[in-house]
Amino acid sequence: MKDEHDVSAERAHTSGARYVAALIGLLCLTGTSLGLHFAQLGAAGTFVALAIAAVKVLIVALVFMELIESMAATRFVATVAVVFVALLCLGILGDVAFR
Amino acid sequence: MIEHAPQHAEARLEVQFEDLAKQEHAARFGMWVFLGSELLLFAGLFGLYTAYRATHSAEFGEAVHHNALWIGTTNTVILICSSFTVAWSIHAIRGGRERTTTLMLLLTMLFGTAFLVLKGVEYSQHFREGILPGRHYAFAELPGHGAQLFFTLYYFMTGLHAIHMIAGLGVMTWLVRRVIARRITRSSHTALELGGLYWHLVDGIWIFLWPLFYLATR
Repeated sequence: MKDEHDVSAERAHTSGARYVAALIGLLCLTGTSLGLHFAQLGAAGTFVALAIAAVKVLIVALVFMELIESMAATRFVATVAVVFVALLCLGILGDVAFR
Repeated sequence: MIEHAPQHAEARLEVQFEDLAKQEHAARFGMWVFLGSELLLFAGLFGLYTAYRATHSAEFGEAVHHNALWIGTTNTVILICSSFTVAWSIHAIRGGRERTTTLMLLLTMLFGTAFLVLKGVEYSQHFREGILPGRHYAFAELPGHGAQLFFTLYYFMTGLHAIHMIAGLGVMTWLVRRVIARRITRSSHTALELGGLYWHLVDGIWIFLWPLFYLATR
């Protein structure tokens, strides 16, 4: 487990190869989203597109924003922000669905 | 008397920190807190979209067809590429390759400008068709209240995102100037890392706007 005060851990930098792999992955996922849009999946299409978007944002956060190498406190802040947004949207959806 | 920047700027340790590593961590942590607050700014709009999408599902689906898919998709690819160039600029400065860093930041600015130009083209198409926000909405093909809500949200969310893009371009301009002036170097590049984090956030928000406004037809 990473020590909270081990600042040197944050100095471990992402390699260039990982950046290139992330770029290729993101472009492939964008192509997949577009392809599935034309495949006409119906109502499921929206959820699939949003799920792919979530994976893409995760790649951006972990690799490009180097969250994977960040300290626990930084990862906690990022996670809490995303969880709050998800809670807000799910709460609103629940309110509308069960009104 | 004119003060010249040092040939290779070294990171300066502020008095409240024990060492540079802790100072850099504090800067990065503070930036993440700022990005969290930015995300919550958009959260209200994502929440509104969720509510109106649930109550006007069919009209939202129809309205999506009237956005230019090719522009939205091209802009998605553009922003993903710009995130890569920002990341690569940081990778380059860590290796002491300042010219590559400058080139990557300039490429990022080019991508950002292209994004805004394409967004402007799409907005102008909408304006010609009478697709305007709020009570100014006058699109004859989709006269319903749901479509009006969809396009009002479209303008608010993509407009707020565009404002962030413009701010990001300002940050990139400032960073390029500092790299050229050798104020950002291999041994002192925290500002570049923080600017990069901001740019990636703007990219991340668009990654969600694209399916909501261009793909979600049902």
